[in-house]
Amino acid sequence: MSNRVSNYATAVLAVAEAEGNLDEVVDELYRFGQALDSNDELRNALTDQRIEASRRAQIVEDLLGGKASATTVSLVSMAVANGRGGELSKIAGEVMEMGASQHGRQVALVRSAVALTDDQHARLVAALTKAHGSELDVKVQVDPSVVGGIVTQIGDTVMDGTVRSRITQLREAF
Amino acid sequence: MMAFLTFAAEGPNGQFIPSDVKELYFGAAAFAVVLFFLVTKLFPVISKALGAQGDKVKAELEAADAAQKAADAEVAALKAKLGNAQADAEQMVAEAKAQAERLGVDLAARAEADAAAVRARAQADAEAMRAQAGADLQAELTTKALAIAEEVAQANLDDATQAQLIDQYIDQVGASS
Repeated sequence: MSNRVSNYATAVLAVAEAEGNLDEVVDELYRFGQALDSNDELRNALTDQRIEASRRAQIVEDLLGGKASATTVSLVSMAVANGRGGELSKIAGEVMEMGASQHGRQVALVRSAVALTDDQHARLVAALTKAHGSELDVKVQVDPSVVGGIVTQIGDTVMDGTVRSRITQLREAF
Repeated sequence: MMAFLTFAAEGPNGQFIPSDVKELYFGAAAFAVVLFFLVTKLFPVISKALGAQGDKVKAELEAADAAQKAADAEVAALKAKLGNAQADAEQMVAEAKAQAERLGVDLAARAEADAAAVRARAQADAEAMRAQAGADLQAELTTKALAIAEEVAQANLDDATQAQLIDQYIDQVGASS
């Protein structure tokens, strides 16, 4: 992880903790970063240095206004205005890691084809915690590209139970 | 002799012996003088001249003989050389023929080897192309089959199936501790 991403993550973490909505900010930041990674047009617009910084910040406020916390909107606008829009997902990931490590935890990134029910979420957290042997901050993201099932990443460990991975395995078998 | 006969014929008595015996004596003396002169002066000169001429002729004959012998030797040498040249020429022709035959055989063998190599290479290329085409076709079919399988899977993954997949995953993770 570059120093720049770490510095931004430290700043975001400090602001979010000061505002008392760290989990909310981290979750919104992470989801916005994922949306940015999956949308070329939006990413290009927010990372194009030929567009004035104030204009890029205005786009962020138009997109997130009323849909995210004021803290998140301010932090994302600041990062985009400074030309770091393309690194938002990395910054969000670093913030999650830093926040979790402050509480002696690790981050478990979960991608599911469909949204989990509260019961499924609770059972998944319990199963992952049991399997990993330590407390986890579980972040669930709905990702239709996995087709079906769930994939979880904890640090360098990946537990893949998706239909996408089975299709990939099938393709490699040929 | 002619002078003697002439002298003798001039006798007025019509005989060969002069009428005056003195003439005979003088004639004989003159003849002796002339003869002496001839024997002592002229004959040696003539003899010498004839001898020199003979030596010259002899020398010329010897030279001619030597030249003849040399010419004969030259001819013999030339004939020998000609014979050698003929033999050499025949040998060269024979070697050339042998080399031509050998080259012909070599060229034919080389051409046959080249042709065999070309055939083998073409066959290998054809095999490789056939294998590559088969692999490409299989890859294409696999891609299409998996794309169809993916579409079928997405179309048939209803909420119940999705929930079942999630539950299975949770159970497997929980059981893996």
